[in-house]
Amino acid sequence: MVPTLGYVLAVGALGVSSKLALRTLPWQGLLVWMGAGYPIVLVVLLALGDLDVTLVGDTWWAMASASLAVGGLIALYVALGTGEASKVVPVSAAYPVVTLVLSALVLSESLTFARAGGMMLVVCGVVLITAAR
Amino acid sequence: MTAATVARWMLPTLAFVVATGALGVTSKLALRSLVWQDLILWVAVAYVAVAIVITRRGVARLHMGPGAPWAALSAALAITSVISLYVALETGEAGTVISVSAAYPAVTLVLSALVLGERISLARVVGMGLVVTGVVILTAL
Repeated sequence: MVPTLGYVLAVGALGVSSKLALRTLPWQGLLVWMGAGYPIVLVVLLALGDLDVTLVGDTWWAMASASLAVGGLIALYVALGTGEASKVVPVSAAYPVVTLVLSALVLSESLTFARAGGMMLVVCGVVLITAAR
Repeated sequence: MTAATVARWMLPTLAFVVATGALGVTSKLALRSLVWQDLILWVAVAYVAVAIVITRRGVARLHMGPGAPWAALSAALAITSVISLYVALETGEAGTVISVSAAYPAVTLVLSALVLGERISLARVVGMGLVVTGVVILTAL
């Protein structure tokens, strides 16, 4: 729960800091900064001895995850570039539905009524936050 | 608004929904035998590759203007968020972690009001209430 809340806080603040950066920079500029930031993280992990570059069976899933993370972000920026944020963001909030279905199908996680209901409340709340004026 | 106009933003938005939705599952599959640091390595490779393509095409560069500190902070927050997500997925179920993580707009809403001076309407407060209730249900049940 603690790292999940860390994610919520970081991404929540990311929306504001990105908005401030985008006053004078294009969205591609933010990607360049991320490209500059990640090598620093890798150097730190290597210095700490926490990084072991070995290829195993699940490395393909790691590569797929990296592609999805970057591809998803680019798709969002493209959508925001062509559509209104008030329409793009509420639709984009539906992604937990995909995770819930895929985690049940692929990972055999339980798809309980409470879990589906909780997820729907979060999605509805996010839609309301982003669509309301 | 024509169908073509809607498709121009709807298709990439749906691509985001599918990609981000699937990310929780593929990460969980990778974390069966890898640690989160391994996943960060591949995300770093992907971002560096994208950054190289963007800079070589002249679309953008590492601007050092007034927006640079915010861009650097945004990059730091984005990297922190990805690390936090992978650490969470190491122990939590993908369905729960991703659903709870979707609550981040509530934080953006509060910070937007505090930092950017944006207005918080009653409807948005109700939306925050729904988000918090959903997170409580997801974590308690």
